[in-house]
Formats: sequence, structure tokens, C-alpha cells
Amino acid sequence: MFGRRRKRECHRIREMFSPYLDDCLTSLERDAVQFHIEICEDCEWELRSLGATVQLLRRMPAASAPRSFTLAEAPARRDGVPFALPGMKRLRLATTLAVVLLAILLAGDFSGLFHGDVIVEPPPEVADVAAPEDTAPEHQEGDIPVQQAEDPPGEIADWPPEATEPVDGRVTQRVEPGQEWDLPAEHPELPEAVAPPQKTLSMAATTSDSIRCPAGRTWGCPPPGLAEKTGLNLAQSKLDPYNHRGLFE
Amino acid sequence: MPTYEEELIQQSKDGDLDSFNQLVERYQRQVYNLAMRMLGNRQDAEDATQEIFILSWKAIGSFRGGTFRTWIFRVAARFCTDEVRRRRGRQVDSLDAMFPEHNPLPSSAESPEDHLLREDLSQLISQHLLCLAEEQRLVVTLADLQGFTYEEIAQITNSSIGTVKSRLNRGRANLRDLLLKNRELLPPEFRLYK
Repeated sequence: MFGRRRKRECHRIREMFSPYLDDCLTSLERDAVQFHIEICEDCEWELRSLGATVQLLRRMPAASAPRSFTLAEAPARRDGVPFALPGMKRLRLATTLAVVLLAILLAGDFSGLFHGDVIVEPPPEVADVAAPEDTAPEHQEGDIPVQQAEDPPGEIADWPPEATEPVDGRVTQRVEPGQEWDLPAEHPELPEAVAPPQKTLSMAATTSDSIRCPAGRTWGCPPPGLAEKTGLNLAQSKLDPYNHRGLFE
Repeated sequence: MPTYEEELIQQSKDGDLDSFNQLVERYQRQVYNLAMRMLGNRQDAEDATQEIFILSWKAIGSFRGGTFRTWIFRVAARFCTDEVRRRRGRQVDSLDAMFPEHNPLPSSAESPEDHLLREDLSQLISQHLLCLAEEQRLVVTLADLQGFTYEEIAQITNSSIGTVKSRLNRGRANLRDLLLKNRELLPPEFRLYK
């Protein structure tokens, strides 16, 4: 522990040796170096040997120029830097490549090269979406949202909308278990082609016994005349609250 | 009030070759020495020095003030570094590399023996300088042989002062380690060290 700290301190002090020899340290740093070399023999040797090396270098004689390098005639001048900066060639190449790539991307984008064929999935078949068993448990107990089949699956989680809020001419109502279902007195006219039942119909916690319809009707008993209009024989079908496939088969 | 050197620079910018040649004569020895330390070869150093002054003449229009010595050494340092890197791939064998310097005859104050010792030591240092990485070699040469300050070296090498300090420290330490391998040639104060 102590040795590691001492090693770090030696490394820090040795980094200051050259500025120390060149007299480029602040007085505080200079004191720190002098304090350290008094207690560290290795660093003292390091400093003294570096100092001797610097002295040797500074004693080196400068060679005289072997001839005159004056220019006999003026070479043609040019503007700008006398030579390329380091990495300038590589930078120029990279810039050219980037511009070419950008041009290709833009051209491809305008010509629709990268768009590909957009696959528009047809609306799912009624039978296919009638029983999303995997989505049913996600809904609140007692929710009976009325939703069109072509609604995107991703929006299922947003259901239900506010109770009694009309959605495409239909009525959504939240019915608690045991609560009476408050049907409007006058049913709106059903369309000629009845939309398939909602794919999020959830009856996980409600049974036909717990929902009582007005006029003595129970859940699963359609209003009079509905079978003729829709062509579905609800009376003969076995309505499974967890699986509605049988209703449309 | 511009100095004489600034007047020469301005006249050189205006195309006066004689003014520029006066600048060349003032700095040619220093530039040649830098090229010599960096390239380690007399002929290459001569060619490099000539090229550096030609480049400087062409580019003197881009000199925007400051110290001309720093500017011309910037040109020289960049040229020599590029040259070293260019020649790194191919090994250059030359007799000049073995006798890199031509020192004048000993002065009257120096005995022939001392002169020979100094020659040997100088040659040894020159050879070991060439063993350093080019960045360390450049910084050591500029600091210890040309006498530039850290700030000037940072401008010449286009690097930070911290980088200059670090390269100088490592360069000096590496050179010390190389010199210690030939301890017998070193002066007495050096031989005392472990």
C-alpha cells in the first residue's frame, strides 16, 4: 500500500525533472521536487543523471553550414501552407468518400431505391381476430369494449375509451360484475353487414349469470330479430365466454 | 517601429529575393543543424536545408507575424519529420552516417587529446540521438541543441506544452540510458553514476 503510493509519487516527481532542469517550474513545484529527492535516492540519481545528459547535449558543438543555401533565382510562389498538414491526404480522401456516399444515399432516397415494397396487410379475417386469447387477460375485468376488427392490434392496450362514449356509432359501456346492463331504450339500427364482434371482448370475470339484461334477457340472448338480420343463429351456438370462435363457424 | 528583420520579411513577401537571402544567411546554420540531427546524414541534411528554404520562400506570404525563427523552424521541423517517416521504410546506408559531423580543428585552448575525446563523445551522442523516436529527437534537439523554450517548441511542433514536457523527459531519459552503455567514453562526472 505504502510502496504503491511511493511509486506514484516518484512517477509524479520524475515527470517534473525536465522542467526542473530547465527552470520552468513554479516555486511550489520546485520545492516539491527538492523535498522528494532528499528522501528518495533513486529519484536523486535520476535527476542527477538527467542533468548530466542535458549538460552533455548542451556542450555539443554546432556544425557549421557546409555551403551557402541562398537562392540564386526565385522559385515560383504559391499561396497557402508550404506543405500538407499531417493526415491531410487521408482527411481529403475521407471527405471525398463521405460526399460520394451521401450523394448515393440521396439519389437512392429520391428514386425510391431503399423504400422497398410496402406490404399492406389486408384486414384480418373475422375468424382470425375473433379470439385473441393472448390479449384477453390484459383487459380490465368487466370491460366490454366495442371495437372494430380493423383496429390495429397495437391500440388494443389503449382500450377502453371512456364509458358511454360513442365509437363509430356504437356504445361502449363499462359493466361491473353484478351490475345491470343499461341498454338504451331504442337500439340503433344495425347495419346491413354486421361488423364482426369485437376482438377484445373479455368476459374473464363475468359470467352470463352475473349480467342481466333488461326485459328479462340474459347475456347471450340477442335482441329479437337480430338473428334474422345478421344471419347468425345465436340460439344454437354454444357461446363460450373464453372462446368466441364457435359463434362464427 | 519595425525591426530590420521585419522589414526583410515584408520585402521578401513583396518578392525581393535579396532580402530573403539575408534571412537565409542568418538562419541557415541553425536549420542545417536541425536537419543534421534529424536525418543523421550530411548530404541529406544539405538537400533538406535547401528544400526548406525554397519552401519558405514560396510560403512566406502565409507568415502572419510572430517570431520568424519559430516560423522557419516550424517549416524545417515538419519537413524533417516527414522525411524521416518517408525514409523509415528504406534503410539508408551511407558513410556520412558514420561520420555525421565535420568539426573544425581543435582550438589553441584544447589539447589534441581532448579534442579527440570530444569528437568521440559528440559522435556517440549524435548516433544515440538517431535511435530516439523522431518526436523525442526533435524536441530534445530543439530544447538542448537549439535552445528553444517550451512555448516555442509547442508552436514549432504544433503540440501542447504538456506533450513537449513529456517528450523531452522521455527523450532525455532514453538518451541517458543509451549513453550509459558506453560509460567509458563519458566524462568523469557521468561515470560515477550507477
